Amino acid sequence: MKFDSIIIGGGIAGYTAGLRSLEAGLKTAIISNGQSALHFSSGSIDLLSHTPTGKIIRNPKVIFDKFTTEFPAHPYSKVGKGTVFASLKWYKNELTNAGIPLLQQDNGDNHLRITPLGTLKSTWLSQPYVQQLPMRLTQHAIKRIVVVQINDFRDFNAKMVTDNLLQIPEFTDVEISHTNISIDGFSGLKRNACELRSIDIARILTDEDEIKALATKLTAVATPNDLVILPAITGNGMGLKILNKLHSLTHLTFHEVPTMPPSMLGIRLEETMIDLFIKRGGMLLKGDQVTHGDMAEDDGHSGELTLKRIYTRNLETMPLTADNYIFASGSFFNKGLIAHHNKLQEPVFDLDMNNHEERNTWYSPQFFADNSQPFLSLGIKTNHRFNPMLKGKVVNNLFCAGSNLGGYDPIAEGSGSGVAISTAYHAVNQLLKNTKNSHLQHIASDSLA
Amino acid sequence: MDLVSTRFEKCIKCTICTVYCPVAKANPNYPGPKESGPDGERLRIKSPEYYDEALKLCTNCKRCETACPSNVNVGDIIAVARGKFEKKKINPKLMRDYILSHTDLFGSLSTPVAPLVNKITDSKIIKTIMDKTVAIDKHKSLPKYSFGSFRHWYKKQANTQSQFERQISYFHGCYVNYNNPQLGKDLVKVLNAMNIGVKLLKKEKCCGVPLIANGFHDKARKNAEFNVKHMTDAVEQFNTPILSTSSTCSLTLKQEYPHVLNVDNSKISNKLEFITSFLLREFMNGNMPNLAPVNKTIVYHTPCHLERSGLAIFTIELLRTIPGLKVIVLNSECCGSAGTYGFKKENYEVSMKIGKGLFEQIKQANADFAITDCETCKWQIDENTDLETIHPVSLLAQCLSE
Repeated sequence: MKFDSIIIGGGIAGYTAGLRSLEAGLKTAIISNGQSALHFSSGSIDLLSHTPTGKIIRNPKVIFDKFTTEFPAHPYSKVGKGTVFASLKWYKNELTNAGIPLLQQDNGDNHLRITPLGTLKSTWLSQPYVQQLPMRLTQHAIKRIVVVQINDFRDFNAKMVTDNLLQIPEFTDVEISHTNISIDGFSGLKRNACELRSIDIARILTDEDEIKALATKLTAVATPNDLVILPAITGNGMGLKILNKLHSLTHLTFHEVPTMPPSMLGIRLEETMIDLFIKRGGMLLKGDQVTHGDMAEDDGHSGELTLKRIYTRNLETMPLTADNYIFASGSFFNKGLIAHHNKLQEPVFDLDMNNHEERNTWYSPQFFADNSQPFLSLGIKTNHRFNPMLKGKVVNNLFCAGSNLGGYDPIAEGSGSGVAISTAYHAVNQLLKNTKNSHLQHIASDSLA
Repeated sequence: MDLVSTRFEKCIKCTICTVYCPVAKANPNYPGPKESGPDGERLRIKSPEYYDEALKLCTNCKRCETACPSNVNVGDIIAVARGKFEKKKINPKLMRDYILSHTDLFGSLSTPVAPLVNKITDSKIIKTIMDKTVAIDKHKSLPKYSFGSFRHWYKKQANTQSQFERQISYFHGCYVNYNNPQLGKDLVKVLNAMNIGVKLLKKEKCCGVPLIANGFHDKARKNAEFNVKHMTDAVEQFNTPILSTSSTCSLTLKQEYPHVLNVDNSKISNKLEFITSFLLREFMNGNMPNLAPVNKTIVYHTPCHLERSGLAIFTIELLRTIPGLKVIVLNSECCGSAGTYGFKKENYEVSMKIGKGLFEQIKQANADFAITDCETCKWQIDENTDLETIHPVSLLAQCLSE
């Protein structure tokens, strides 16, 4: 079967590429091996919180030019400032228009969000009920924080959040406490309520009466002047509707934090992107996996390779073909990269990696070291267009995007989703240059402008 | 310890399966696939006492497996555990489960007297009685039987079919044989228009899926062995592909036999093919029948088992080859019927809750027909929306230009 573009991988990079590809009028397929790591994510979009050398970044846009000069091999430097910010603006609009508003600081600064551990992390775009604290934390306006423990719910620990928040010097004058609330619906269950995960509670909280009961209990423990920290326990296909309802009933200021998997905040992003992709005519191959592909020497470009076709587990002998392919297969966790005893491998095409060193250089022995873990920066070696290489030969119609790329550390830098979105967006711009269709080239030049 | 029982070790406890479980979504008392599958399996290996009766709430839709990022066969683990540990209680529900699941037995009894049976099962009084006695929900209409089976009709065609140089073998399944022979006839018409003749297996029994779902694993295994034998004979004798028009029969023959029933189908596995996959490949190789343009809009629903097989792409691309047809593909969700599940009084409410989202999507699509590859999805959509639901092959048959 023939497509204009096929995207391998259904995570934030894959869906971004898929949506952009559809937008350019291309016949597009995404192959997704199960749901993505967004289910374990904060649901905020990180752009750049720290430099690779560990310096805190307040405003990514302001330092961007300096950053690219200093770290020319970083994916952001290859994508370029214009496309990085255009891609994030595009992503923000897409999700916002589809009912998941992504908000940011007016001055383009990062903001701090309170994590499930009660620590602070900086990010760039957040959902409406994630409280955005200023990077200059002394300027925060919080008077009182109430951390809500849902009785029997084991994936969130209000006491720990409270204890950690109390350690933050800028919160010395803030009154911080935690309180317990029960959910009425738990009592009618035939199951033990302590077995419930966030998604189970989200399902109970689709009931009108349950929401009203919860609202009453919340109003009893907090006032509209407080910041009320809630575990993220709403969603399940209803996006933010339940939280909006809870807010309108209580007038409280909520801050929702993701819990142990699954993260309702991340699920909202993935659900929304899948829905858009299918509605706009994209072909989604769910629960399938690319096993291998056929490469051939490209006639036009001496010494380069072209990916001719790919094979999947479910389609067996029936290959899929496309003019261009985007490879957004994820990192080690997603099996987009594999660590063997003595080498790192990209398992689908066996593409060249950006590292040949000994195993003991992949990691630092301190798991929770302050500096980054080297393996997080390991990945597929690519050229300036993000084309990978196979035994030194460029594959000119395959474009890498997201966390299978080497050369950056999503965790230490706080750059994972930003790199995913911008490299995917960039990849579609690049593949449009490969296409001979003049109409599409027109779109490409528009996007690049 | 066999292969299936240790497969849970790939589970990383991420709970994604439970997010996509239609039953857990509609019924908070169902522990969900993670607890029922990989989590529970660890305990059940320790002692069968840990078997939880709530596992019978699983519809075997396999959406957990489609969603799982670690490729754990969550649904298989649950199905195997049910086969091993589920205790059959002697009560009227057992009789109901027997009737609902033994589709070929009751099909062969009913088709000769179909008009009478249909009239009886359709009457309000009988529905109320069935609701009160054997707990078949009174809101449901039992599937209508056809007056005369597909095999019976085929007998007269066998000669004509054997004239074609190219042949396929058709596993028609109970639905085509007893409920909707027209679909089988449509298939013959479409394949004949492509110069391909249709053979039937010498004999076939129900693929076994309703038996698995209702806990009659021994009977299902017997059927599987029977079918594998006859499919092997067909392959050895004629070397034909074996095609199925039912997404569920197809998944069962190919995947459930080895994974759930432990029946080896490896000799014929690569010959088993779902109809739309076969047709699309033929079309792409230039063997496409003449199709008259249709000025219609259809809304396509992907059945759970086709989604799990990963073959929906074939049906969708096939539909897109029909000239003039506007194809709306829905973001797939379970219809709630899940085979025999939705017919049961104790499941009816949950079944409707599961299907609600799909019915809404279909209503909003503003289409002329709904298209789906699964018979029980068809019944469910027919019953709960205003659209007539037809199989892609029947649509193709209607589009053939004379």
